Amino acid sequence: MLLLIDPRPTVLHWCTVDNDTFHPYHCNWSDMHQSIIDSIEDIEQIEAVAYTLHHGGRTIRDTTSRLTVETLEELQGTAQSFFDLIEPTIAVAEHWLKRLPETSHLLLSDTAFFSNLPTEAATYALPQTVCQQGIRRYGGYGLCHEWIWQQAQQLLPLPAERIISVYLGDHTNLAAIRNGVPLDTSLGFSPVEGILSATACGDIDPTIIFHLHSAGASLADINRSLMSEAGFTGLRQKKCSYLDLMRGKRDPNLASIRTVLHYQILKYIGAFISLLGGADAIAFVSQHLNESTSFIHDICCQLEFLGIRFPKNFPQQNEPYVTGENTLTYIMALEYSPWRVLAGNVYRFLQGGVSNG
Amino acid sequence: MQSPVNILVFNCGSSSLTYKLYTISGLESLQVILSGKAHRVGVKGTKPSFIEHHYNAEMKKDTRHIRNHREAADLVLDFVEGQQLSIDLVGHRFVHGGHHFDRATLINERTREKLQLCLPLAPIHNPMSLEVIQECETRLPAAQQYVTFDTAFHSTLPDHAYTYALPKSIRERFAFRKYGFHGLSYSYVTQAASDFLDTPLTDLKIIACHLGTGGSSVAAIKGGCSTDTSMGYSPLPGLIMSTRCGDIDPTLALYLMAVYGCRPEEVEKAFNKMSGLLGVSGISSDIRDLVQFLTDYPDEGEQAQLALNMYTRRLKKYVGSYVLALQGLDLLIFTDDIGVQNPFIRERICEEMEWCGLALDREKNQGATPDTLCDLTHKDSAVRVLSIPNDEEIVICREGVRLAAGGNHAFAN
Repeated sequence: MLLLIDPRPTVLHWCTVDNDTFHPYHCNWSDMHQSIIDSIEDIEQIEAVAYTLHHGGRTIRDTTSRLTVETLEELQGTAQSFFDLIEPTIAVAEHWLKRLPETSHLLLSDTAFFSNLPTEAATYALPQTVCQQGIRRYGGYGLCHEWIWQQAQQLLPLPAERIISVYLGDHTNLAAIRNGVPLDTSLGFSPVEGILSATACGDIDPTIIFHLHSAGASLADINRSLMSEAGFTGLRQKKCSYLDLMRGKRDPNLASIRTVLHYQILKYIGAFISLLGGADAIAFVSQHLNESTSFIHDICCQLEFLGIRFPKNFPQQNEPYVTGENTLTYIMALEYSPWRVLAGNVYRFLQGGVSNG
Repeated sequence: MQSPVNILVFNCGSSSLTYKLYTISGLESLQVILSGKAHRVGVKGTKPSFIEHHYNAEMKKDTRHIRNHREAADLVLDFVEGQQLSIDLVGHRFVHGGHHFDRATLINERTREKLQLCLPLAPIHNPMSLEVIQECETRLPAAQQYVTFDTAFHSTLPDHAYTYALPKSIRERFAFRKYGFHGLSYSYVTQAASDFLDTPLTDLKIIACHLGTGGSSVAAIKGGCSTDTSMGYSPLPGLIMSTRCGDIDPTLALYLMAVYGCRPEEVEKAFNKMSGLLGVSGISSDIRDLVQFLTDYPDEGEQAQLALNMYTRRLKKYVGSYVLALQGLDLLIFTDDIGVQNPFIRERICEEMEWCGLALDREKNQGATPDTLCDLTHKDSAVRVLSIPNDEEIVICREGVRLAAGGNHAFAN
């Protein structure tokens, strides 16, 4: 049995995996350890515990790696910069390392895939003294984008060198991948950069921050405005998720937010096609693929002028979908199941002892 | 309007001051009798600043340290006075009119106050323009001054392009939105291209790259209307520029203040004046210096090369994103000093662009002259590529003629 833990700042998610049966759970931080134990019949059956790490900083460069006490010490150093994203993983892992000292503990890093971004993509055009402080584009959702690349190699009828992967969800983001190596990502130093999310603003003019500050807003106020009260939620003026956006077909306010999201995705696709000099495939993945079908279809309609062909009823169901012949670029639509992808990484690592980078 | 009228036009770039003196006897007969440009104003580079004046087919170059735009304007007014020329109107370019101005306007007590309100909107440009205006008011008290705005051209941006996904209360209180800049330039080059191609603007999808020695931006223009542009609320975001960082993760500003304890004014200064090509290369803010450095010291040029790679990469991404935003492309324009003088940048941008039907003719590109409109299109390309020297001053001048005639029209398109 595998125990997969996804520690997030306010909620802890975990999943037990037994013979391809997945049992996902979540709870608040206060009662987490007991809740996890309660969810497992026999703790001795756990073969491996794997923890997702949402920001590996400069320390973690492999998607899947063995977690030891030493790894945790290294992470503590990085946690100063990305406290909210790293601290939860450290806290949970410390507990389980002590509790199950004989079991394999693995770290699944969401930024490792992007640790070998080309220098010109990773570097910000800031004074280099600033960049030497660890300020660079780290990306994110690396486990997802790496999986998309692998899926494309399996599902496409031809070897695909140039892939644009599009994750659709509360935190929509894209990656440009050439020969398995990331060329660019829409996410940046933090997950705020890029496309607007459920609660974060995405790309904005940084001058706005200086104006807000000189108008008397504290750094904490500004941080909250940009990260927790912006995005879909800021535009709608009340809590709004990706699913709300996809389901609210008749609400004109939601339609206008969908237009912004659609437009920003389209622009990133264009930017990445330009970098890649064309694309062999554009892959859309979502945990809510059924709800996303018409949204994906609308985006694809705006790719038609490039010679990209797809059937009018595309995509229709929850099965992996690949467009047929007579297209310059294949369109893929895949249901994304994070726990399955995490478990796949863990099994591969345990069998081969290597990270699939 | 009584004729002839002399209009002195000033155009403040972040590191340059261009001027032209027009004599006008009606919209049809508009003639430049004097022109010039101060280069590297306030630049910390490897070469000194200088000012050149063109008069009666002669050129006078004066190499000296020019500390700021007021000093550059002073040198211009000295030269004009030396030629015994009268000035009736003085036109200026103000980059950011925010929500205070949506068209060109004469300067009076009321507009002067509103211009003051615009200063923080473009902390590099607007104060420089105001310095030049103040210098002209002091030295030419009898001349009527007027001001044009770079933001006006982008007033056609659609909601989904100009809206920042911030809480509504913040957006409305501060009028935060994408405004866009270099409107005078885009106005000029799109019209010039339309004339050259003998195709009305309404039939064209254009991406125009304004690549200046100070600031740079790119715009998507459909049917003569701006539909998107790389700069934002301020001229900071977008392309990598001489000393501006362009697009970055907005949380970096917070991070540098919260984790490193930097003062906000330090961070703002670092982003605006110490970043971009200067920040990455550590050598110069001027792309010409970087190219020269790579030739002179090929083994030590790693950072200079990185700066150039980042510069072209960012622009290439914007061009691609606007091809999709426009749903196709008819014309790619390169303009302003860097745009017309650097074939290697144009070549890099146009590499591997067959996916949108664009191909550059390498020979035409290498042979292009910076002072004339050049067609760089490959014979097999579905998209035209033009290099067009910019003339923002004539756009400013035409606005002055209209204002003096009592009209309040802002732009032809």
